[in-house]
Amino acid sequence: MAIPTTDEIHHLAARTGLGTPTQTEMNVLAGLTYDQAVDRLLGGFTGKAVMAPPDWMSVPPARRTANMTDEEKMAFQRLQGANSRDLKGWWYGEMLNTTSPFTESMTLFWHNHFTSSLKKVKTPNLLFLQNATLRTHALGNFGDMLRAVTFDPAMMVYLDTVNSKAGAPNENFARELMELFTLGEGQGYTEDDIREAARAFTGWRFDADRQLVLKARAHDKGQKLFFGRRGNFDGDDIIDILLEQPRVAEYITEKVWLNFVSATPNLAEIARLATLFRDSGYELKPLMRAMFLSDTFRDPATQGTLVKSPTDLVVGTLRLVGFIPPDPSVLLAQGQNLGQELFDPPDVKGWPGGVDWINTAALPARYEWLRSISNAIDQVTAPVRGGGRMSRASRRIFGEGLKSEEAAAFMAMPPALMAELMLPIPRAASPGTTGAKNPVGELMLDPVFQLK
Amino acid sequence: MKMNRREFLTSAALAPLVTVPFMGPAQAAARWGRAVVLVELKGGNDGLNTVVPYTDSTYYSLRPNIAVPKETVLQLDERLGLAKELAPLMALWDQGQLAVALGVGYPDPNLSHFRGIQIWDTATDSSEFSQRGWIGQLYDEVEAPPAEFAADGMVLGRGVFGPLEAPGRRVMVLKNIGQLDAAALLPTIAPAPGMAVDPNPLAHVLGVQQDFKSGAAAILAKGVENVDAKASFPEGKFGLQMELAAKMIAGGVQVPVIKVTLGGFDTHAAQVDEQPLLHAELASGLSAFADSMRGHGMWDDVLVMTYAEFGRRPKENGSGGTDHGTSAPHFLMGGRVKGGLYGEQPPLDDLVNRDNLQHRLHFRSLYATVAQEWWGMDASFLKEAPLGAIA
Repeated sequence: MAIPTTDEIHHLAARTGLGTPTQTEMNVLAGLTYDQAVDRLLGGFTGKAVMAPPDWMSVPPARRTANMTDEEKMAFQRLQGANSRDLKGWWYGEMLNTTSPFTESMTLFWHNHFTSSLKKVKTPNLLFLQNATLRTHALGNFGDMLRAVTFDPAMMVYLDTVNSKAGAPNENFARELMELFTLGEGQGYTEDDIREAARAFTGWRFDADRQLVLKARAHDKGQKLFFGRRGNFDGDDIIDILLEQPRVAEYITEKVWLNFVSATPNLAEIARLATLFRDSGYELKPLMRAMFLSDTFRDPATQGTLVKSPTDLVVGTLRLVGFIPPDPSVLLAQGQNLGQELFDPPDVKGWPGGVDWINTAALPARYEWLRSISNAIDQVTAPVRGGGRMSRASRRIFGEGLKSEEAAAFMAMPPALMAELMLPIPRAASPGTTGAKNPVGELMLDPVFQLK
Repeated sequence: MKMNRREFLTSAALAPLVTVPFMGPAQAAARWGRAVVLVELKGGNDGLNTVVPYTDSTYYSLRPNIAVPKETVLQLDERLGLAKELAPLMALWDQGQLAVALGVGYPDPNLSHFRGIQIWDTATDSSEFSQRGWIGQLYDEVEAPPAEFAADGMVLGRGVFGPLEAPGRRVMVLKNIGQLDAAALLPTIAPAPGMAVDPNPLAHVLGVQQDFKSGAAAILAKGVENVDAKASFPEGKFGLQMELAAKMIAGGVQVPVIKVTLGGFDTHAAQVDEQPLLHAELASGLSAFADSMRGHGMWDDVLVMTYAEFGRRPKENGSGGTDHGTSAPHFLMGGRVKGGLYGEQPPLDDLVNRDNLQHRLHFRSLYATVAQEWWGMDASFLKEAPLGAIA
């Protein structure tokens, strides 16, 4: 079996991971055939976080009560704000430290599909649990994930399933379930289907212990007409009926394609993969495997045609150069500047992605971020004032310096090898025009570094 | 899927040129010295609790828990009044500079946020699909802003182009003025030859880089960061956006359209806790903007218009909120606006399409008002008559 080219392995690692593979990530795949490399990546999926949960996950979340004094209310809000930042920092930490970036990119993909935001849900504990749920199913079975998310507390708060009651149901979840989660806008369902599904999801409440319970009196047990079928459907029945629709596999396959393969849908390929996906009973692993093995994915012309997400550009770049910020607030600030705040997608449809990541506000912010890394590299590699130490400002952002021998080896890499590791396609900037003073910065500030 | 500029250039070069012919007599150039501020009420503002039919008993029976009490309403006439949090707009109303367009919508309404706003942004019919925003269409099909302008449009806050979406248009997304300082540090890069990958995001990156450099230079040349707003803007993202818009216009930055966004209107639950706060933020931001423009003697040169993907359901749901609906009122304001009510309030005792409001004005008639009455451009492609709301 032929050994694949470095470019091909780089493409696979960049697209399945966080935009820019590290030398270690590349080394793991060295010497394998392409098929073996795909299987190695898929096999490395863990479905579990390596970082310990935030401390506050071990105690029941504080609750806002009606009889709080103003001071107590403010203290409560401060605590929620601090825990929310902590939660975002926890995920960044996970992404920085994981040995399976593919686990993170899959989890992030589903976070952008089954969206929920801290702004609405407010309780960070629930978002942490939702992240664990998405992680568990991210490469498992889509049907299981859909059902788990449907009855996930954060989702039930986010789209108002909680407290929806018989007689005057809340349509929020039912609409997005069909429009965004399973079928796509206008694809085979009607406004009446939304209303009937909304009836099926009535009756859910939090009990005194903040556990979700179905209150019989608030649940609409009556007959519903959904997708042409009559029955006393509940939420599980609605999910069952939706999963019988062939459109679901097409819709999900297309969305995965757009995220991992190309911004241009190849309809024949998507149809082929969707059939495979549906025939497997919605197993995600064979779908992802077939997609990474597809001719389109492997076509060299596909390399460098996707825009890196802000998370790619923040986390992937730090992993590459081996900096670990001591304070995650740096990462939160960059997520905000670059336009992707974890656990806070802009709306229920998530981040639009693709070329929409790059506009006149985001692009200078991206360059500014990369320039600050380049400057810090100057300080660790060139002996500046006392030698090899970063300035206090850089230390605050990037820690004490390179975290490993590997990073030091990377800095010393010959330029041609470095370009191979850092860029998906040949440079666009003429050498020496980026203003960077070191070879890593020179490549990071090339416009091609924005791509994967 | 949107075309990036490279794709557009390629397809324009390859495909036979199909342009919509310009109908009507040749006109003088559009009045580009006049600016439009588009205010998106993202999420779909509930119209019945904005412009309240306070004498209609059906309104109160449809909304036993969330109706705006009659005694708190700020009366516009003997049937309609503004929610009290919109009080800052009443000064404009009293001066005859606030137009309230009633029952704004379109036939066969779509109740999806995303399809809904696409229909509004692209000025299409419910069954028609387009990727180009209505301002972009106006530029492409009637007249484009002068090349020496800082940009064809500006988006403050959330960087979604919406009405300004069009291949090759220079749209400046700005979060704050400080961001412009980065312009000097951007590398100058000529597009590499042979970039023909389709679609080619590299061409997009380079195009945005160029738009940013030229736009930033034009804005910095006007010293916008030092402009005195001459008004006190409310705290929060929306107030900041309106303040920045005011400084841009007062500073003399040449840009025909500035889009701002106030989000959070998707009030499916506990609406009475959320919507009044949004109304207060909206009204105080708009009113400060009017003060600022007056302070600079420019209130006659700006037109402010609100829009959203849809209105909300007349009947409240069991969560103390309202689900997605159809038509809603919208505001136009400015020194040249002829204040008053336009269209008519859709009847609550004659709901259609599963308990929804009928529409009385097509949203494109608001756009025609901007194109034809405000800028003096041919607006026939919008297929609706303007309101007659500009003096």
